[in-house]
Amino acid sequence: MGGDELNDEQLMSRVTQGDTAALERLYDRYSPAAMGLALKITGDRATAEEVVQETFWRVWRKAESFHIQRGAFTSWVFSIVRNLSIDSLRRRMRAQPIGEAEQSVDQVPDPEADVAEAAWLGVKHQQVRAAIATLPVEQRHVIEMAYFSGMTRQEIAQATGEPLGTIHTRARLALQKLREALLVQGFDE
Amino acid sequence: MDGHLEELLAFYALGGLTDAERAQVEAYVASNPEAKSRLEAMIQTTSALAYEAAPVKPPAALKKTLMDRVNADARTRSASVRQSPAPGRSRLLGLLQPRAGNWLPHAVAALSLLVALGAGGWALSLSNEIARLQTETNALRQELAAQRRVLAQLAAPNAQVIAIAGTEHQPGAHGQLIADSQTGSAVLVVAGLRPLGSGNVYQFWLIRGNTPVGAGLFRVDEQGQAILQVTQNVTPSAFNAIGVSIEPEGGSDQPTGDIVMLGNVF
Repeated sequence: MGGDELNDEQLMSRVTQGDTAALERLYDRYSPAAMGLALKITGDRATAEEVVQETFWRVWRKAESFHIQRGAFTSWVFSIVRNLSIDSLRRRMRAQPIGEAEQSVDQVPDPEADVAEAAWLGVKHQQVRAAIATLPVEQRHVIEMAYFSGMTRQEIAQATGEPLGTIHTRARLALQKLREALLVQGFDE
Repeated sequence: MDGHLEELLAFYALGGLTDAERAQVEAYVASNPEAKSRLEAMIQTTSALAYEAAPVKPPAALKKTLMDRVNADARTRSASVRQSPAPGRSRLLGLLQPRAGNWLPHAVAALSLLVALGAGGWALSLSNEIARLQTETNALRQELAAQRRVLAQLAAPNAQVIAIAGTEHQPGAHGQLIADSQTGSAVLVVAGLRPLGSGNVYQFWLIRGNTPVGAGLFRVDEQGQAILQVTQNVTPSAFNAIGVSIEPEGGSDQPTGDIVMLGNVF
């Protein structure tokens, strides 16, 4: 992003005051990441589009509920995307056992995306992928099952056949190691 | 340090806890700054996971639809601010306040009446009056409970308010559906509808595509007002319109009478 660009929090402050252009700017900045996340979780493009639209509608309508001291804008907006996506996934999976809900969507970065934004998101994507790749496979699986498949710790223990304590340990170690690996990658929230 | 709750922190950050477990963790970190700091670090790390998915640009039409909706909302808000600070709520409160204020006169009248009747020894009249007052008290209790449901609905963190207006059949009607998108509960508040004669009721509909789903029957009082606890689970994103029609007593599977109110869910 250019140095004279307003940051996320400054844009959110304007959104709170009813500035639609500020919302549009945030949409341009994060909708590709939001769409990618929703698509990865739901595995369905139409559903992912609905999630993205509802997410930014909530950003608009519930801007007052965003407080910078509670975390970065991206934490907030991605949690909305994830929660809506998981809700949608669960609705679809009612007739399908959770353990079988392996989502596999072939995602390719969109060549039509704004070049600067695409490059910025692309760098983050590569940094995070590289950081995740440093995790032992069993820790990575716990992260994926919890975050991307919306499984509870009990469901993960059941699906993997491992004791709950082992799942707790893997999740905690995975986040610790991921945090360190992101620092090494130079990832900046 | 609570070992059990510490174990839950990572899954809190990953979104893998039940509501009850989340509440436990929130209570724990509220009184433990170190645990709160650990949890915030985990949440920050977890939010980076979103970038693991390859970015995909949504279609241009999606942005247009969103921004049309946002701009329309901004215009509505702007117009609302010129009229009053919070028209939706003030209109609702306008419905509620006169009724809340009616308690005292009713109570005073009832007491006066009881004293007068008791002194005169009009036992039969007294008995009838008590029965009438009990009926009225029950009605007021039900009304108060309905109003509390509306206020609770408005106070819900995920409350979404959808406007509904009268059609050409009853242009003076207006109202709002207040839905909690998290729990699916919803309350319809309407005013300005004509009271119906016996044999007919108003029926509320959630419309998905071209398919209406009955979501409750109601009658209005002499002022044309009513509060309906919606019988269907309401997720606003799951339907695109709401409506009210006049139906025979007991309701219908599909609207058969005049559609008297309609609202779009954007």
